[in-house]
Amino acid sequence: MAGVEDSSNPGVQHQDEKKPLDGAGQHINLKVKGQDGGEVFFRIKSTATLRKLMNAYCDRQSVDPSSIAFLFDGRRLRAEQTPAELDMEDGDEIDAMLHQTGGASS
Amino acid sequence: MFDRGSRSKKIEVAKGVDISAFNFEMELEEERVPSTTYQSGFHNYFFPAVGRRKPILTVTSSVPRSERHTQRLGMSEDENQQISSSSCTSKQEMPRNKEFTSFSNSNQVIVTASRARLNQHYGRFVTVIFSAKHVEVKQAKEILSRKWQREDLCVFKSFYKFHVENADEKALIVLLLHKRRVFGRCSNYECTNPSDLTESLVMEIKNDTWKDQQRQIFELSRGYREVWKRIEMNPEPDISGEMFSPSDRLKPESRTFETLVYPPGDPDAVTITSKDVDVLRPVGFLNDTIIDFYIKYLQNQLSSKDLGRFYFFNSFFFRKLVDSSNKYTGPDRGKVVYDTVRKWTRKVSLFEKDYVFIPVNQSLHWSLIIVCHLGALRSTPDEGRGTPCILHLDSMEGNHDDIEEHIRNYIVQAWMEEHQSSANHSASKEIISQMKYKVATVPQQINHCDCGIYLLHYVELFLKEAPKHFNLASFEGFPYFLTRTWFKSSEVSAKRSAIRNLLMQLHEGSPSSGSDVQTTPQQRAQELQVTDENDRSIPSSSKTIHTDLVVSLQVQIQEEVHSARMQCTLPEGGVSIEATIVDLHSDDDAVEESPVCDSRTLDFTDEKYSPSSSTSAHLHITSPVASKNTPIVPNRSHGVIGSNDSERLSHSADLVVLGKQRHPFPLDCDANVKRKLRRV
Repeated sequence: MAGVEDSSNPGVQHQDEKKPLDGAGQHINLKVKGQDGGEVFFRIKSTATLRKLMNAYCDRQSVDPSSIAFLFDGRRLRAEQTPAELDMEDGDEIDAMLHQTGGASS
Repeated sequence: MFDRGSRSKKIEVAKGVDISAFNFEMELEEERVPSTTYQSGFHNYFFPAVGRRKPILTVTSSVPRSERHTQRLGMSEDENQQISSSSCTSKQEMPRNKEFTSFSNSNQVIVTASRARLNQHYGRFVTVIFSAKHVEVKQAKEILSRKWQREDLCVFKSFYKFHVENADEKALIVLLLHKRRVFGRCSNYECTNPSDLTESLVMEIKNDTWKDQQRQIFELSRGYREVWKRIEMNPEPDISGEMFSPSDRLKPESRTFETLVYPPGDPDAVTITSKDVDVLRPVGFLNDTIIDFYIKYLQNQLSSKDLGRFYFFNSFFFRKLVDSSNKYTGPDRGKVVYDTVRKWTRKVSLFEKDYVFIPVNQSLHWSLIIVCHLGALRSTPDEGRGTPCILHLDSMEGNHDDIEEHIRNYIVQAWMEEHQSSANHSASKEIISQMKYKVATVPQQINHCDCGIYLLHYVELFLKEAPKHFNLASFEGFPYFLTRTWFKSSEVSAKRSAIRNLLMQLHEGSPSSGSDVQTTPQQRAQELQVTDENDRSIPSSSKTIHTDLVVSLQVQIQEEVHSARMQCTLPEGGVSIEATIVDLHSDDDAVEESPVCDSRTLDFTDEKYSPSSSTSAHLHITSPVASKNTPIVPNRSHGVIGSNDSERLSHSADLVVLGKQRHPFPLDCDANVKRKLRRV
């Protein structure tokens, strides 16, 4: 998972903060929030695709990536997008929601 | 079908298909938990008129407890009685070894299958006992134990001669048995989904033993032979080809559907994968991706002038509202909930929109909220901008009280956010609480899988009508176009394939299909499975045989029942069909058990269904809850290989269309019947 570090591992996080921040390669902290309220923090290069983050999240949660939709401010995220092109900022929150399906009624 | 000799035909099973590679996958076959039953009155009701049936209808022999039925079979109940009374001494042994065993005496034929599937449940070493009056399934697990009346048997057929070079021939026995129950809220005449009518049992056994057993079973009761003869496989030639030849099945279009990003270049684009396309097959449940895609598509068809008047939330908005309000309690709950979705609308002001569309997904059901004329909240009522109100368009009206609360709370908060400086908040609450919430009278779905399609159709037609009628100063009741007869159900059934074709078209024309789009590893893996003919296609094809058979047979049965009903209802005109609610069979409540799978099966099983996945846990959680009083339908869409399924889609779609053509009455006839029945 190059480019993505699970910042719940404090060692990694602190190492990164010491690195000089140079525009393009800038790391930002993103929070992925599950429907159960659980939060996972990631540090990701703002030019890296979100695929890495998504896969890392799904690995961590042991869920199939295709069963989860990621949303940022209500926009459905695609794996090939990057935080930079979405104007994501440090501390932004991504919603991880289970895909929904429906046919019958209760 | 057998009455039409010219239509009958035997299906030939492609040789060289490896039976050992059968995948018994749990998600292949849609299964519902019904909660009502046919009352016997129902059968009495439609049988007197049976003489008027068209020759193609063969439903007689499939309907339980019909006097006519037994007469037709040439066997009186007494005769049956004799046979079964002499069978009482027989001992039933439950063979558990791997051998295919057969214990037979004059009264019973016991068939042991190495693998079997009962509806969506799988098991090994399943024993099926055929006797003159009953068909009984026994297995160590309770879930696979069931006993039916022989009269419930409506399809009994084997498909076999799978030649495997170093192995025996094997037979695949398919039994469909009438359920005496139908789906929850629909009374039986509305029950249009094939799998609602029947339970399916598919067994895999050794062919050489089967031949004997088959003969013995026929000797038990002529009913078995009658049922056997009754179904000559569907005569359409393309089906056999499609069904049994792996290479034919993979038509180019479904094969190449990889990923479509729509609209291309839009940061809000929706990514559609072949798996999503797959949910558009006839009985698939629509998922959020298809809903969002089609709404996006409709949005793009609007002129820029109109576009500004509408706002479309995506399908996750309402879920997020509900999730948040479930999480927080306390006095400032409304505010906290609003904060979680505040940013969703940071670039728009809802109060400048005439119509705000909110797809709602609750308890596996899609419906639509349209918030009308929010802008008019700000102005004096007589400015001719329409009356602010919340419309709920629901294809299966029921108890959805909390939807109103969630939406209203959201609007209050959004209003307060917009008018932070000026208004006194209690006044705004007042205004908004006076907004009417109306459940619109809209066409209702006639099956259990189309609510997503109805949602999309509501949106589409509303968009067509709304601009025209926008200047209505106010409407008491509803805009006139919102009626039960707004559109025909046939429009909706056509919409599935229309959307699918649209996706295919867009995919073909899309520059982003193919190499531009990076496919995820999962998608690549999927494509591999589809294209790698040497290895993968065989199991997938045999998997398809298995389910396609059941599905097509179920469709056939359903059509027959449906047609027979039509035939009987219209002349009589006023006989009511009744359905009674019975306790659910306990088996139906049970959580699905793991499929019998070998390592190969796993290759085809979507990770979603792997035991460790929390999604599968989620499914398990929802199903028992929902099945208390409603059917739960495992989502067939996920976890099945997309291209195969798209293929199956087209195949079954053909079947369905075919059925309609053969149908003695057009679909909207249905509505007439219903109206008549309601009056009675």
